[in-house]
Amino acid sequence: MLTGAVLRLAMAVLIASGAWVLWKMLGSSMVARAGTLENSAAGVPSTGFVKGKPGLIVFGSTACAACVHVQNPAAQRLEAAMGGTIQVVHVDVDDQPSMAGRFGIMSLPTVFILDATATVRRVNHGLVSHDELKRQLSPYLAP
Amino acid sequence: MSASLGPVDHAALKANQLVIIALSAAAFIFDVPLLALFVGIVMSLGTFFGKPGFLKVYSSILRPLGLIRPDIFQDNPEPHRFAQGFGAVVLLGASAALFAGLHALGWALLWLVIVLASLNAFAGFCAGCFVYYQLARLGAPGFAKRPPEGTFPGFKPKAHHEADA
Repeated sequence: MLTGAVLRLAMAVLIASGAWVLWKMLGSSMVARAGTLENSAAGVPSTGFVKGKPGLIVFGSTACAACVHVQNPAAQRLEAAMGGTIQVVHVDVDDQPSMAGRFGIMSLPTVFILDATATVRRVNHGLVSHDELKRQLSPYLAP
Repeated sequence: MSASLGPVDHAALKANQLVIIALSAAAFIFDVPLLALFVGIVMSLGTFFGKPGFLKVYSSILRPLGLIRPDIFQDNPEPHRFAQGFGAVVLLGASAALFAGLHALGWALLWLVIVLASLNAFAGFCAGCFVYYQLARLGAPGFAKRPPEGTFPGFKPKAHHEADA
């Protein structure tokens, strides 16, 4: 029985590791897909994020309670605390469904971290705290 | 998604997820289908009563010991209840498969619950929220965006007057 349990434990670790790798690959895939935001051409929807400052793009919805009451305030607190060194753009997926499709949004809220060249660097699926956002942005802030 | 809000303790939700993960993993490692059934039943009861199934573990053990602090804010409890209910159904299905001798199917379903609960607990990804959002995108009844204020669902919004120039 002990041998069986050890074998199953090894299988469990393998499955968990595989799932973690797949999850990381999904995140990397979304980041690569989002790429660098180009300046919008006429008629092309824009997130409003402009080159020159790192920041966040927060995808949410007025119908998503966690977005309205937790994620948005966390992002706003961060913006206030960082002064003018970052930008925070909010995208309502109900108002801009094509933008949600372009970024491959699967769930709400979803928060992208972008550097000053408007290149997507990280993606967070679900709620992410003010402190974690600050930590994720720190490599892209001007010295 | 529904607009109904209420105080939701996300620490209790996370504790619930961690217990589900631990017990389900233990069921697999020690080959105890009865444990998977137990977890499924507790999750079902939790869904029925609108509370995390293993709330007692959080309120009687983890919180008093100071291992976890409450994290309460106004949230929509429905996606979390949906996620627990979905997990309960899958675990009960896993148990049924295991007792019927369909071990591969049973353990695969159990691992589905473990993975989804882990995504929620460690990555903040809410499977219930994911399903809600996808159903809203498809325009499923009850999941679509709320109609404008004063509009009865399914009816056209009242015509508004042209704004003054």
